[in-house]
Amino acid sequence: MKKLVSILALLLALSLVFSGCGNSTQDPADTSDADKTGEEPLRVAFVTWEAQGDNGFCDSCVSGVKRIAEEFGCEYTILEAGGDTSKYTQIVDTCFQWQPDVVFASCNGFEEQLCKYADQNPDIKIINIDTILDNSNKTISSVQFVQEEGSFMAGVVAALVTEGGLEYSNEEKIVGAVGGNDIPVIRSFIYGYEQGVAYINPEIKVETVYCGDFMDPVLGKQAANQLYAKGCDIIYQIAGVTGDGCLEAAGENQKYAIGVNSNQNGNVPGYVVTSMVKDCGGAIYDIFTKIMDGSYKAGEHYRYYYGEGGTYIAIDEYTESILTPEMLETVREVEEKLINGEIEVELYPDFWVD
Amino acid sequence: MSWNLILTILSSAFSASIPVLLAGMGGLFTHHANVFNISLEGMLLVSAFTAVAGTMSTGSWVMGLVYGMLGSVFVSLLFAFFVLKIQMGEFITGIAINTLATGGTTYFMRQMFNVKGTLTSPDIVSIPKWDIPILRDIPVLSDILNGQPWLFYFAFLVVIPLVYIVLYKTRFGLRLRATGFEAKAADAVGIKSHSYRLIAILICGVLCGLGGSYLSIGYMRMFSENMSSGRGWIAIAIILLTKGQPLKIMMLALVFGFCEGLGMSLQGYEIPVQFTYMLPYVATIIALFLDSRKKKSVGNKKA
Repeated sequence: MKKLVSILALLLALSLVFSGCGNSTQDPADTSDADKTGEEPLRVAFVTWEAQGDNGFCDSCVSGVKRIAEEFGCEYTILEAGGDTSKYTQIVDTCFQWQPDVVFASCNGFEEQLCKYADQNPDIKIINIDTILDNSNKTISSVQFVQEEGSFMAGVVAALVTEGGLEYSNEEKIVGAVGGNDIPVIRSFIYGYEQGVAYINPEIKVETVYCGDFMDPVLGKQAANQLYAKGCDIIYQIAGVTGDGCLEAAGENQKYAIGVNSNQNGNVPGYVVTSMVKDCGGAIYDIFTKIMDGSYKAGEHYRYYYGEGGTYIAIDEYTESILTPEMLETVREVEEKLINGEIEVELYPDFWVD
Repeated sequence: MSWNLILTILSSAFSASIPVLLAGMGGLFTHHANVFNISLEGMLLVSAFTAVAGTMSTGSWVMGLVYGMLGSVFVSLLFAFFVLKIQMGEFITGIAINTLATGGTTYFMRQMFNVKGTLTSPDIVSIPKWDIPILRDIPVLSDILNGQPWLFYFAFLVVIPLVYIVLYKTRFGLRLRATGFEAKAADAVGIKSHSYRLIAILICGVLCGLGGSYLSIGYMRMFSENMSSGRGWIAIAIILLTKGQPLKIMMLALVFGFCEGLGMSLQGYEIPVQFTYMLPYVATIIALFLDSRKKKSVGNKKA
């Protein structure tokens, strides 16, 4: 009897855990009720290894899909694994059983399965977001963001802050960067950042710390404290949740920080100067308009450069309250030069292999 | 390496190692009661969450701390129920509790606050920081030790001495250790080993509650998914390595914290990050090795 009770109790406990992780993986009711009479509306699916509600990458993608659904009257479904690898097979299967016309995917482990489906269904347009994915029939397209360009602008802002003698800047010409881990994609951010800093003044030093963890804000705070102690007055964080610790350290040390991926300017008001935003929703929308006007090519690697739909720095009232009007003007000028090609940002060679 | 940087590393070695230290102080009670408690991680995580939820709902850090301790005590009661009442394996229970803590805090964070990843809010009130008059005037020490949350001083000046005294100088501590050493013998002389184990688990819950609250409303002012990030496991490792001696636990927790900070700053000297990530673990083992050698040579002399 005791054993039975203990087993039941354990099962109960475990079921709680799973209900904790479980999100609405498949929710056919989520599809918008488009008019089914007449021409069939296009069916758009978004498959992600993450879950919604991250205020970042995933939410941005979903907003893009929803925008498509609204403007073009498509049906859509969103399939999320919530980071649970055991659900990957299930969500990809469900996605293709739904018979989509267009699939946007954010893979982190189910690439092979997606390729398999892509080979079997050459008519379905599959677009992989943020990484390059090629199947043998070359029907999957990839979307990549040139984060070097957004980071370049972050570097420009950082250099202006350390040069400019703002309220909390110091004498030393040092700026900092905190990376989640020492991997090529993070290095590509820093590569762009360094170029941006050097564009304003090549003598400014860039100090980088890698935390080795994307999920530990305590480490992020320690790293940021160290960089501020070394004389940095502004830090660019590229470290996910770890980076939230850096932003907090900025407020506590009364120094500046730059956010990443989504607009984090309001997280620690007055200290987060700007954020390097990756506009996945914009890119998804752009790809879909290409599909609609027929200019979309299967198997293509689309690169999104600086600006809406790519990467850009978020300038809002928080930024305006920190930077002087002259600085903002310089930022705008550099931005313009970057967009019209006067400035060329080098790409990090180890990351952009193809 | 600039002077400023060294002070920062030392300061964060002290302040960031408090959660490990408090969890270690709690865990040593269960260690001495011969309860293999691996749920320190879960206790830290749950209390970090409930502490944040407490300050956000009441607007006071006192309630945050109370909620933090209650959260962790609740977990320890759960652990005690399974282990002592229905005699389930300690290891299995510990794993279940840690999984439950990760999933549960994430779930409630999303349900209650509608955020994923990190929970930050101006409503989170952090534990007040103390500016200590005498300490303020001592040049180096003031940079390292002054201006920390009061729980920091409480941990070093009250918790550690108290744990030491309770464990080695009181009847309770003696009986607790006797229970852990040979429960049947203890029972035979009239010590209720069962209740000693229960008390040890509860003390562990209270101290982990302090550690978890320190994590989310002391050192940081936020909660993030899986925020304890293995600190409970490090505490367990330290307890096992030191055989549950409070002063050595404190020493190793500080060594670990210091090397974590030192590792980061060494990245500035072209040392590959893989080595700097390793540093705290390697240093902890070396510290222990040196310590055990010292003891051995003393033993040899005696012999």
